[in-house]
Amino acid sequence: MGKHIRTLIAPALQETVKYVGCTDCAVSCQSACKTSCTVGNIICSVSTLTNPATTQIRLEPVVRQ
Amino acid sequence: MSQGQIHRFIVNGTRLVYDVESGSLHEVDELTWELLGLYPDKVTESALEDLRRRYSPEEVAEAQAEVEELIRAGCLFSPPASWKPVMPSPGDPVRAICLNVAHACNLKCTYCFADTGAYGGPVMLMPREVAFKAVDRLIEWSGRRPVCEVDFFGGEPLVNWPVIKDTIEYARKAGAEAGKHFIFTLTTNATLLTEEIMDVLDREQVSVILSLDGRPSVTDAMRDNSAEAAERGIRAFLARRAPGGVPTWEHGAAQSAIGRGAYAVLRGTYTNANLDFLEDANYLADEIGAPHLSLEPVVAKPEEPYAIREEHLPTIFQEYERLAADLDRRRREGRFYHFHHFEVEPEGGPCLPRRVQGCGAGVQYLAITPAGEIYPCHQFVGRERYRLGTVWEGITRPDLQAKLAGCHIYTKEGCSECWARYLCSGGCHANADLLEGDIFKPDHIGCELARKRYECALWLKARERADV
Repeated sequence: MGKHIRTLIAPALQETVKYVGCTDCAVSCQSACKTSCTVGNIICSVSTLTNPATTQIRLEPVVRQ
Repeated sequence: MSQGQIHRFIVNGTRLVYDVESGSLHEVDELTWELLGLYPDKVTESALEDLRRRYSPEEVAEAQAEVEELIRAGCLFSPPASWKPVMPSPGDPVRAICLNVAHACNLKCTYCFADTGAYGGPVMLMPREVAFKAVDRLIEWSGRRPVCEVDFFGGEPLVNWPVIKDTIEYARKAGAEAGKHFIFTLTTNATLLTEEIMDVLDREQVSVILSLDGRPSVTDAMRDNSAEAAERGIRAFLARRAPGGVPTWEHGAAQSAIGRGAYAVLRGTYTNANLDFLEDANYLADEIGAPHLSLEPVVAKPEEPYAIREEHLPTIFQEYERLAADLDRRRREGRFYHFHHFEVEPEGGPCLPRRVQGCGAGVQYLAITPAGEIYPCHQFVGRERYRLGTVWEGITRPDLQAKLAGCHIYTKEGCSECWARYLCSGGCHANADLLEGDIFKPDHIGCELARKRYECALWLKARERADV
């Protein structure tokens, strides 16, 4: 924690490219007119990121060959 | 200097910096805010000298050291991932279908994008054979995907309830034979909900999106004076799904494989007549008892009297900040509700491949009309030039499907440079077509609104983290 900068979230999104985009996450509607689910608020079932809530429900990840 | 991108923004007086490629979020002081405004190309000795004069040489050196450290750590100006993006392509497994089981509605809402239910065509209910064939197509086209989703939509889908009920039964049976698990959603105005219908929705774990705009006067003004009847149905349903305002499900805004229990979320629309929509959100949460809700800007051409236009943006931005501040206060007081447009999953969200693919309309997601026509999504229904085929013939417009597959953040106008591209995935194709006349040109007002919502969402996340 710096004196001038407080890092609140540091997920390293680039590292998730090793996953293929298995599309097992929810269907999103970018106008959100139907499901209120946009790609911004989807939770990933094979999360490569660091949310402890999602690690509890982790499925087998599909990794790019 | 790396080739990364940051976005600096202020919400409710807090200075935040979002690193686009890594997804990192930082709160910074005024000095660092100014310093980062110089990066990457304007960090000259004269610019630094100006900062030293206004702050102090020591402070500037400290801030600069912190910035450089975060750049080295990949949390500021981090470079894009090195990869070949995996984009949607024709032949991808279909994930979901939207069954427009009724091109008819018992209400005549002023702003209805579906032309009060009939989508500019004849009033029509979907026959069983069309619904069953659509389910067969979904199973066939879903490939190896183990989960298939069917969304019941309209018009008002409950005017064709017998077909919905039979389709669920058919899909369960056909899915079991094919080794597929089916999940269902239904979007309804709630005025036709009965105990019998709610029993089936509960038994079959159908997730439900309930339409209500907020305060009764707001709902009545746009939704055919339906507030009383809609509220009656919604209260009865929420008593089952969220008794006492406590949801019986998990991850209401993000179901699919990780969902636990069927959700019931409220969804409203705001227009230029209720730009004070914080009051409507709070009404839905406090008076109706919805733990999960959203209020979406009306999708309408600018000439419509209720449309959101450029001139409304400053007021809406202020209202979003007011809403975010109110939600933050509620969180501290233990009275929080989930406002879906302020929900982002910066650490548990989908992978980058998913983020760049968008909604998959026309490829991974299809809408079916009562006559069995296939459109890219429910919003395209009735726009004849977007008809992809029929459930009987299959896809007869592979060229159109290829065009839709090729429409994403790397090809849409302005998306490659936009800081929010991994949060919005390029926005809605149908809105772009309706409002800009081209699916490759995102609706510019929609983009402005989305960016503001993401700023508020990130601010809320920052407030949450700052308290940890």
